[in-house]
Amino acid sequence: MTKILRTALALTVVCGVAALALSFVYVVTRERIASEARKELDEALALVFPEGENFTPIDLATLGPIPESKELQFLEAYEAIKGGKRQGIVVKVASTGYGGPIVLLIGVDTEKGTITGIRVLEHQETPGLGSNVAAEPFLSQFLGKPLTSPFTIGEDVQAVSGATISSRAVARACGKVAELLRGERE
Amino acid sequence: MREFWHYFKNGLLGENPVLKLMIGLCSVLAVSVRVDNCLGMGMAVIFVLTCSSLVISLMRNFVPNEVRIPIFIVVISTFTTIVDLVMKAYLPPLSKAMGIFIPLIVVNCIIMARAEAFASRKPPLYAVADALGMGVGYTLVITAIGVVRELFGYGEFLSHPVFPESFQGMMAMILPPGAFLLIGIYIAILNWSLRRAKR
Repeated sequence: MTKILRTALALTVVCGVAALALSFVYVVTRERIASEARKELDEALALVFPEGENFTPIDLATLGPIPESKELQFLEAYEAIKGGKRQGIVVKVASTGYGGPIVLLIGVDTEKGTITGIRVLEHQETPGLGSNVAAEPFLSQFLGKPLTSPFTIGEDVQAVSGATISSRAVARACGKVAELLRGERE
Repeated sequence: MREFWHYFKNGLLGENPVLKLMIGLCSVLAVSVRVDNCLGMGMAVIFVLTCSSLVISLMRNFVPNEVRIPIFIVVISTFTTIVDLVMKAYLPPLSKAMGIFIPLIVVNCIIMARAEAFASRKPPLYAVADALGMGVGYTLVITAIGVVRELFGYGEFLSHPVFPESFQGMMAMILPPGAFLLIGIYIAILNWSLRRAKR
């Protein structure tokens, strides 16, 4: 009996001390981690919608019925505001590529009905092949494209060589976002 | 003090965790594409290994034998989580580059193996010497792999281009096979030179 108690006591003390130490570190770093994450998001938003002065998160449901599919999930949406007026919308989507979801930020000018920018936030594509879809030469093809374009590999978008699946995932995401936001155009 | 150096050197060559004991290879393969990632990973491993070895060695008379493994894991994961949080807060790009491999230090067998085989049986000073030796040994090997992989895979060193613009990176070096090949070559070189030194 005393042996069981001693064992339990040892485990309890170690876990208690560990929990204390972790809570302390968590409290100290929490603010900083949150502000780093916010900074990163702000930088990414400014890159995909350079004209936006500030961005406010909006509910995805306000954009209309969100298409549900296994390959493409809509994650978040932001309103890009300039001079107090809504200029466009930035949508964060996850599109399934070759190695897993490719998380993209896509900016759309709702006045002109064009794509203003596109950025890959996270991906697990093959380094050197699929990872090239996150680079400028491929992504810049989408810049300024009207929302009515087909966004199809081989038609209006050139795939990264050796990475058709990854390229298709990005194009599909753009196409679906464009389809959703076509109605938003004022 | 001589004992301290003896245990420290043990981890560098004679029992180098990667080249001799061949443990903790998963993180070596995954992280060693770029030199800065290697150094970051090395520092994280040195920190977690040293701190947990010290704590485990200090507790060695208090820990009941039946629950030693759970207690080691709690200690190791506490230090790993601390590293993870601190990196996220102060070195976000590095933390992003290493992704899942920082939390996975918890299950890095180098740390568990040293806790079980060494730190839980030896006084704190020797435990720290062993941990530092193992940690530095790990860092040296992973960095040596990283230098070659970054140089031939991307044509860069610490993200600065080394070769002229027309350089085409070797895909094999960026992908895990490059690390496997290099580890094999390094093991061969180390064994060969140790054998020569003995003669």
